[in-house]
Amino acid sequence: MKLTAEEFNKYPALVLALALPVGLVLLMSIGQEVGIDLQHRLVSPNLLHPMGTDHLGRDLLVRLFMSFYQTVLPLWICVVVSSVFGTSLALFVLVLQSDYFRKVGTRIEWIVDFFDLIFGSVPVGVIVFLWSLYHEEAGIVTLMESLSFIVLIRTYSYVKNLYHCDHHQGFWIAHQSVGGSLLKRIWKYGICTYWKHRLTNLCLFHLQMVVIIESSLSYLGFGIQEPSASFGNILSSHLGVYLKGHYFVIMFTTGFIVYASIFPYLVRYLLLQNSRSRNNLY
Amino acid sequence: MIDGYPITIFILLWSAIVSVVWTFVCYSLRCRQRMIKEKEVSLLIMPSLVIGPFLLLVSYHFLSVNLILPISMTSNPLSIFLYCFIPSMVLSFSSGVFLRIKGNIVNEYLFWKRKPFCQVILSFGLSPEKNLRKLVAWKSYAEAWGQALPWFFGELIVVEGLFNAPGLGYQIWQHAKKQNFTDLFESVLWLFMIYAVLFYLIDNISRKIGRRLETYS
Repeated sequence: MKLTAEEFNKYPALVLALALPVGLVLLMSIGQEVGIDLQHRLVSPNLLHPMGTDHLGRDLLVRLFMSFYQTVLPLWICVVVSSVFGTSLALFVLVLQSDYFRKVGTRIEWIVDFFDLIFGSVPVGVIVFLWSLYHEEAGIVTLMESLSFIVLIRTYSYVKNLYHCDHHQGFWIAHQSVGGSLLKRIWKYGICTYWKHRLTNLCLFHLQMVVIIESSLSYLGFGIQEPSASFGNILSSHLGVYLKGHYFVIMFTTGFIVYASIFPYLVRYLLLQNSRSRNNLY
Repeated sequence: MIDGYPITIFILLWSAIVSVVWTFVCYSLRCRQRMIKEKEVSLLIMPSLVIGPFLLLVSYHFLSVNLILPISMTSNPLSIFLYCFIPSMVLSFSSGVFLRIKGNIVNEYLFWKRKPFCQVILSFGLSPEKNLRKLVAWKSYAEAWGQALPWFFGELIVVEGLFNAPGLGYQIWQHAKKQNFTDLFESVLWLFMIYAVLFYLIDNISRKIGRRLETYS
């Protein structure tokens, strides 16, 4: 996607908001160390520490950015990969059922539907919480395991529902009657049309969901813990402090949580605006 | 000793009551707008980890009110019930139930207003808004709660932890920290039972509404 000068002038705030992580990557690449400095704990924002310091004297901006790229980014990559796998699994099961491997397809569908029944009806936050508790270890790997599995199951279920809503439509049946393959039908009339929009919305919701679940879990003490950086553990370690007036930690941390959770929607909004402005040219 | 179940049930009760009021307020406000556009219900939600600390900060510094369990262990049920209002509002906002109710009302109103029976009502000079009120309101309410319920229960543990409200979610958190698996299992089981009952209730309401709506179409 190329951003022209005209488009930048139209949406400067949006572009700046998207450029913020890039700017923070450059900031990190300068080589700022996140060392403990107890003499400068809970310092107010200044030129040296734009967002102040935390309870151990570590620069808060750097800590928050470390949370973003050490925790949020890997989870987002996990969600996108799981969404692709979930969609592929649904297509695989559907195609298998329509051909000679009907029994195999049905058995695979029973197994996945069984997991869907359990994990689809239980709140996601509770499942992730219990999974982390069961593994008895804090870290991103446990989170990635549980969240990728849940996203895979939910995407699979969503694609199957889309297929079951659409496959009775006239043009689908017409395509089938002239001997078209199911995979081609799903691709041409499903994924390349409005399924793309629906699946993108679902993926964006999952991207937002993992940020919130990860922050909540680390706040409760079960997700990513110190010294690893996470929005939740930064908030929980400062709970006793903000009531005494050091509220900038809460403000900046909650601001980052909000930013991280709406970032995918900002990207989508900009992409949609870009495609609409290009369509208007024609 | 404050038991866990009443606080969780009070939080749910407050959310249910306020969302009913919100449903009818939304309906009245939306009907007065001349141009209503059908739009996709936004799935964008604000986490309780953002709303909760912000509310605690503002209330403590500007209103001198401490929202972290400002009741004693021997408080009467009424004061406990009133206290549960703030955590329930945070939970309702973070689960997105208010936003979903608002979006569903707009979409349902536009959908049913186009139906022939509404045109007949208009031709008699009557107001279709009054006739559509119960239909649109309860359908939107049930649908919004059906969508938001899993998220609601997922955030319950965080909200009760934030406000130190000793409900089922708080007990689950404390038992999990201490690795007290027997009590944890009991608390989780109670939470799942409440969730299952609410899920069944909402599902039943939706089915009954659905059956009646089939006669209209």
